[in-house]
Amino acid sequence: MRRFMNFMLLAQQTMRKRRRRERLMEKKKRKTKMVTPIPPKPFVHEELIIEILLCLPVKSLIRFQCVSKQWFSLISDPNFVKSHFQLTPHTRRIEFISSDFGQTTSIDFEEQFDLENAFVKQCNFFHPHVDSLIQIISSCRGFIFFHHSSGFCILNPCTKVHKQIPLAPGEFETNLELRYFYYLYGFGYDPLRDDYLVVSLSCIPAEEDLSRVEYFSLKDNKWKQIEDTYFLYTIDKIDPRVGSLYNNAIHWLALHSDSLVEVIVVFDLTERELFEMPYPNGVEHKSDHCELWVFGEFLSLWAMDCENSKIEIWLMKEYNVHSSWIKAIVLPMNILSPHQFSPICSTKYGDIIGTDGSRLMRYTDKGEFIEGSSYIPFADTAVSSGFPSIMYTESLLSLPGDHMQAYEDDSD
Amino acid sequence: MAEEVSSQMNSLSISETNPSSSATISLVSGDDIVFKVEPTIAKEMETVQSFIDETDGKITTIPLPNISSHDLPYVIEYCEKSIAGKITKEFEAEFVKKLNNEEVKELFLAANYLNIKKLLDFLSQVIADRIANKSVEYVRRYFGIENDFTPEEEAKLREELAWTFTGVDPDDEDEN
Repeated sequence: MRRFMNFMLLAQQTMRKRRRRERLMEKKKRKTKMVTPIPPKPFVHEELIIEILLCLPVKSLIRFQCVSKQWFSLISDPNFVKSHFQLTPHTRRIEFISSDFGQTTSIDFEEQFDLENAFVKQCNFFHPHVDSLIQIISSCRGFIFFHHSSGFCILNPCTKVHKQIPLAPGEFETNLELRYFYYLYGFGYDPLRDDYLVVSLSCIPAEEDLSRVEYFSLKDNKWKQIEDTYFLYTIDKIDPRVGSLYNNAIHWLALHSDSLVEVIVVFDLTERELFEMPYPNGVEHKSDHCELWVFGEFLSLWAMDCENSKIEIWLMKEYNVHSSWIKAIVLPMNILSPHQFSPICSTKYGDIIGTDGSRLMRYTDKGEFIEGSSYIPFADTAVSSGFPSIMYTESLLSLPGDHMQAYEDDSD
Repeated sequence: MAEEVSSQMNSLSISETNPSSSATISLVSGDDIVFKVEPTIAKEMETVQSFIDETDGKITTIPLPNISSHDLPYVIEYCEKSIAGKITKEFEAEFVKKLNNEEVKELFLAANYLNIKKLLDFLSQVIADRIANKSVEYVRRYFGIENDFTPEEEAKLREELAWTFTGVDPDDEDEN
């Protein structure tokens, strides 16, 4: 399997080689007055199997690892896995995580909430009966990033590849609830270095020199503080927040710590530096009633208008162009339960999926309510500050330097 | 035999409608049936075309011992549509509707043998769609793969991957 250095390149080369071989064979045959082209390769030839495997969804591929040792190696091969992620249309699901029960549940949501075909997966590496508050959750390329007991966990729920990430060295104690810092977190991928980063921004109000910008590189397996960069912002929610991943950058809402002007703080994952974007004009709601997310192809901001019982959805039509922000959709809130509604993701048809803390709900892009599902597994572990569910893209990807540790790990 | 050939050709409406074009190519299936096709069709089949090129176009009868007279008309039909730029989702859906899983596999091998990239890509997806929900046993049978896991290894793997074994189609209902 190590033989494919670059799968696509190899496929092309093999094709060329094959043609050359065929021509050679044909020449030989002419000499011997035989006009029969070479016989085909046996069907089990890897090249052909790979053509088909590349078209299969993740769940089928994982099951077909049981077909034979050859299939197991083909499907686990890092280059195959990357090609599959690049070439095969992505399947997205909503995942619910419960560390209490050591399992995760995911459902298809694109057309409707497909509760009957929920995938329930045992994840034995969760320690039961520990702090199960999942306030921070984010996803990238098939991995889910969340706060777990005394640190963070990155999990591919399909392959169960996972890694524990310690809190940043500068972080106050280990308990996120007992701290004076404001924290912003994020998780994303750096395509330049083929690396995943966990980003932590922290500050103590009025003590700027204690503020810091740090990231954990999965490739280097350590935290790094960005020198001479201070996080001169504050947030008006006490709970830690997680940023929205878009365009290889993580985005948070924050306030300038001196002027209290609202801004969008951005961490560029490839440049590994902070910059800021102005808050969209015309959003009249306080940032504690707003959040960034991704709607379709756009970075979006949703704003809760409590007085008028509606949620506005704003889109930045052109990235980092301030004038391109528009108010796109207004969702009425009068049919919602009194709990706070927050969007999770949009479907490929443009519907909006969100939760009010006890249900999943679906709206059209015109703001019409379509369906509500009371199905939320482990609803008892939901906490007021967050909800342990996230939209993720199925993948077979593993983390840097971490190939194939999953199955061994699960048994201990 | 000669009558069989012409009836095949009529059903495919190849060659005779256009006598003014350059010499037709004769493709001979494994069971010795001759299919006359336009040179443009041969161009779609890289293996055939490179063979013609190698012989400077002197040889126009090409034996294809690994392709049966059952499969070859499908390949020709697909190539004709491809040349006409008429490969649509609708055509492809109709095209595979007639084929059972074994026939799809045969055509896939034929497309690989003839090196017709478009058809190969299309049939890869068709096979993937048809096996996506199948059992591991079905896939082994379909591809003629021997299970080289020990029973213990396989049992352990299945336990770890248990969630992927839910919602799998029963094996017996498909063969057509």
